[in-house]
Amino acid sequence: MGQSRANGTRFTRRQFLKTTAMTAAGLGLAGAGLRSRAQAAPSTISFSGWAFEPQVVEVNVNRFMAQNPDVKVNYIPLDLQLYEEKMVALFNANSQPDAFYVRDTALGAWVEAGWLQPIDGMNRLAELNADMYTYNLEAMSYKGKQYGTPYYGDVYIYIYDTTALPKAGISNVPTTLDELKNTALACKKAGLSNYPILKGFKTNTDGLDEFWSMVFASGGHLFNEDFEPIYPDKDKTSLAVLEWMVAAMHDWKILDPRGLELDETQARDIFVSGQGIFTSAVGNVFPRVNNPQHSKRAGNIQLMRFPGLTNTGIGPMGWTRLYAMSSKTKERDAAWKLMFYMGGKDKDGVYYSAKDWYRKYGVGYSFKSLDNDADIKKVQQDAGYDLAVRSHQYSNAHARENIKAPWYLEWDRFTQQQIQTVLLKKTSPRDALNASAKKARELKKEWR
Amino acid sequence: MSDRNIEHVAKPAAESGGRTKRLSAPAFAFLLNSPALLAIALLVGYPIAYSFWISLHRYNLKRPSIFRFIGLNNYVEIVSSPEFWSALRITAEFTAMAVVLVVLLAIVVALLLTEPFPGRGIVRTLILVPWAIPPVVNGLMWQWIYDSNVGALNGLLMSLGLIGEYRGWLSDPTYALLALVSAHVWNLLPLAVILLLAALQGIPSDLYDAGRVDGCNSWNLLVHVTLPWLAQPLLVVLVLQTMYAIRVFDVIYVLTAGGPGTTTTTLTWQTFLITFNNLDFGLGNAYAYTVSLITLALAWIYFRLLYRRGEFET
Amino acid sequence: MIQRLIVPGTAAKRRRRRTVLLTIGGILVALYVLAPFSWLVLTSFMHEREALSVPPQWIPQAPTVDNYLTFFHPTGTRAIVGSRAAEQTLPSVANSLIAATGTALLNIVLGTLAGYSFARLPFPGRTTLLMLYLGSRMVPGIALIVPLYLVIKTYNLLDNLLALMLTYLTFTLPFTVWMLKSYFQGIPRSLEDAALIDGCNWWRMVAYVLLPMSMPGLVAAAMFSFMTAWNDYLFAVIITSSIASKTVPVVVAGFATDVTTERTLMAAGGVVAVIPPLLLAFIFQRLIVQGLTSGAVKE
Repeated sequence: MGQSRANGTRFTRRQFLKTTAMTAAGLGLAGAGLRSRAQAAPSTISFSGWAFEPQVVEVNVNRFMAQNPDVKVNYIPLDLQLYEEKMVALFNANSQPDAFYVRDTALGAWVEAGWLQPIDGMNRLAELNADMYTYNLEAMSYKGKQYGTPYYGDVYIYIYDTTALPKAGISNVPTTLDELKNTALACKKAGLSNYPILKGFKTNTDGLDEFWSMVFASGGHLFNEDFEPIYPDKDKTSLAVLEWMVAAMHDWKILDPRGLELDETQARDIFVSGQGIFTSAVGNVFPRVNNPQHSKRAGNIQLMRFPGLTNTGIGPMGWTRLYAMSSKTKERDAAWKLMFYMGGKDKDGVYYSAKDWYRKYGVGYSFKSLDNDADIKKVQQDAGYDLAVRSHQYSNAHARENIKAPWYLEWDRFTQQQIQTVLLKKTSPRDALNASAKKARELKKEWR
Repeated sequence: MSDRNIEHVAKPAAESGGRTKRLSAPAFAFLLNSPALLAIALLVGYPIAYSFWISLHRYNLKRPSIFRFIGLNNYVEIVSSPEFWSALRITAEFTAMAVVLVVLLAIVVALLLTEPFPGRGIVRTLILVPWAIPPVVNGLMWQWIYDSNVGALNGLLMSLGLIGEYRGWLSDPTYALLALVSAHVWNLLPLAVILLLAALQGIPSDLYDAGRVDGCNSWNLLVHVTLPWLAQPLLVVLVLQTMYAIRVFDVIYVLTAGGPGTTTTTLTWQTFLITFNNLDFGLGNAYAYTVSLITLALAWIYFRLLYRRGEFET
Repeated sequence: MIQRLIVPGTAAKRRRRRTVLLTIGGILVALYVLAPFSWLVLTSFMHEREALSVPPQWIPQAPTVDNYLTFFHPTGTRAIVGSRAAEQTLPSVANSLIAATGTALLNIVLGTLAGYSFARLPFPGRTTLLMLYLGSRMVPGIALIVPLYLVIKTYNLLDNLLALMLTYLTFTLPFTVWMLKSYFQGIPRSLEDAALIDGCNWWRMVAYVLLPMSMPGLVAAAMFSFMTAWNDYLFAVIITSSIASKTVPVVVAGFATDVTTERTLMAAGGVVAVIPPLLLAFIFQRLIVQGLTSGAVKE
């Protein structure tokens, strides 16, 4: 039928079977619609992600299908909690979707497990890559191959209450940890807050981000290119940062010890309720804390450079969540079309998804050119960003140095535990970091 | 005790029952058990066997190419790691506190609820409230109660003048475990109460009559009639509660994530991390089986203690 | 029962004191049980800001039912964040009810059969078999999730309530069997034998003599299995993937997203999650009382 005609004279056995099947199916349908149906037979792919605002994704997926009638997407949001655990079960049962979200922290592990396939050389990938922030691009490749397009990328930010500083008699925004300490002490003395610095230390996905950011901002490193730990002795930055944190909590009493039980969102919610003067958070918290609908202190919160031991001009850590495709997908092209649309451009060449997320939820974009986009600029102005600081932090951000080690998550969680133990004063910063470095070496050795 | 002894002279009911007349007792027993066994075998038979088999292998999902039989090496690795002993100690503390509290409270509450007093019916219904709250919701609820900045517990203690400033209950290594225990106990008390209550209602009153004739006071009746009668259901309660305590997951997941430090990292939480964070299925399953063995051992001890007179018969 | 036997002959004064003490005990129990829960209920009637106030606002100043209305009009006045979880709340209650009721019913049927065999029939390997039941529950669920997912996929039951029912059945059955066994053992055999001698067949005897007399035990076992199914989070979150089978705990936990954790909305979700089992418990409670009176027959 339609199929054989379209293929001219070449008529393989497989096509014969396909055609026969279609004919058989077609007999049951109305004859008129059959021809066009058979010709356009869309590829169907399944697509999953953790259910952050699934209704928004649904609308966007429908928009994609309208622009790409040859691809039918079956979108199944998975629960936000235990997403990775569930995906493990899916992979194990070989029922994984064709395309899905991946956290950069899990990328190495998932590639090694054989669950993902590289997308190098896919149509127009280079075009996207050329416009991406370095830290995003870094985060999406593993052992020289690229595995995804960005769902979103963001950096860790340091924010403060602008109304507090004048009250404490401080005119300069702190840029180093030492200045931060003095400012916080002044705020404490002025009775503005018992613990001016609020930070959640409960183990969670983003639990190590502040530590990374402070080490980066101080010009330090934790790992060399071979994922060999160089802390705490060869590079002493991390030790000094951790010592500062302990002193801030226990000696100067400017860092809230109750932070040990808070995760990212809890610390954020407490900050927006009016407690604390300084905090660090994921980038998309900024528009939220300045949104009167969500925050008691809307309009008073401003971005500052992530503080380090000295003012090096280096930015914080940044991360990426990406769209990737299954190594087993039978619809590679269709999956790529979706990845290109969701993590890149729509039919009109607009970064539609990234802009949509940013406008609606302040979820960070990964494309440099969007910095100059009029819509984006408006959002940033509305949120009250100090644009100079913002641009500085994003353009100087770095991906975590051993993020691509397949053992990253193990090391990350272990190190979070160590830092908590230090903050409980149950071990010294040096011992904790030594334990963490030892763990890294062991894991690395296991992977030899 | 006459009722309980009847079983000793049990003759196969099957022989006197209508359509099952021709079946022997063992055959009839097998028939009665087959649906339950079938359901269990079809669903969890494979997972249980798989889990054990994997525990004997070196198998990390991140390295699918390396799948090697290593015998008991994973178990050796577990018992030689300090993490295991730390988690074991924390699990033991948690379990001991949780089980003792639940069982004692449950006995008291169940005895109380067998006595008539105005409003007993209401209390009997209310006691079920905590049970109706899914543990994950229970975790969230207690999180808000313990919250160090806006929590109800801090607010209450402060207004009663018991504390001078808001405390971080979950960030304090001593209180964190206690906080988990009390959230867990609150959630699971009803189950124990219900089981004991049901058993208490089954006590034939002639037992008490006999006791009274022998001149027992109420304390003696409790010790010599009520508690021995409760031995079997108590065993169920003990095993169930021990199992729940050793496997506690949802509350830890929500409240502390094993922290601060590793002060609330139990064996089950450790199993979870190794299996899903590290994707080390070999070691993770060995951990799971270690937990199983510990649970079994405890169950065995309970059996021994509660039936030391050899009167236990299944 | 006890007090009836102990107090006779003593002054009515002593009896009254006893009642007062018991009532105080009852009030303490009620307080212990209700205090934490009432915080959840109160929070569910607050606005978000009020829920975060210091010191805590015990009684909502401007009580609102908005949180509850959100379940009916998910895209209404509230922020869109979390609306998916809100619109799934009520259907998930229905799912939970089906899964939990199914689990409880299956438990009673299969548990009665097996429990009876242990209580009444001498057969070789009884102890072993009972241990086998218990042994099947010893492996922590965390280790079973991944292979269980594969099993359920093989049966083509993914995202199906039946899969949840069967999973919970296998988790509860070992204990149901054990509970019912020990309960049946406490029931005099004489009535059973009498029924059989009167010409009842075995099934009729079970239905008309054994089960009615075991009501408190059956109710306890049914509630145990119902609640276990109602409360599970870990397995539900892995096995279910759409509102075709998502249960309450999964949906309520889903209120917490990266961007928002609306306490008040979650609290309302939590309260909604508690209502159905509580209503059932109320009915069960009557059955327990009924069981009590039927137990009197034994005397």
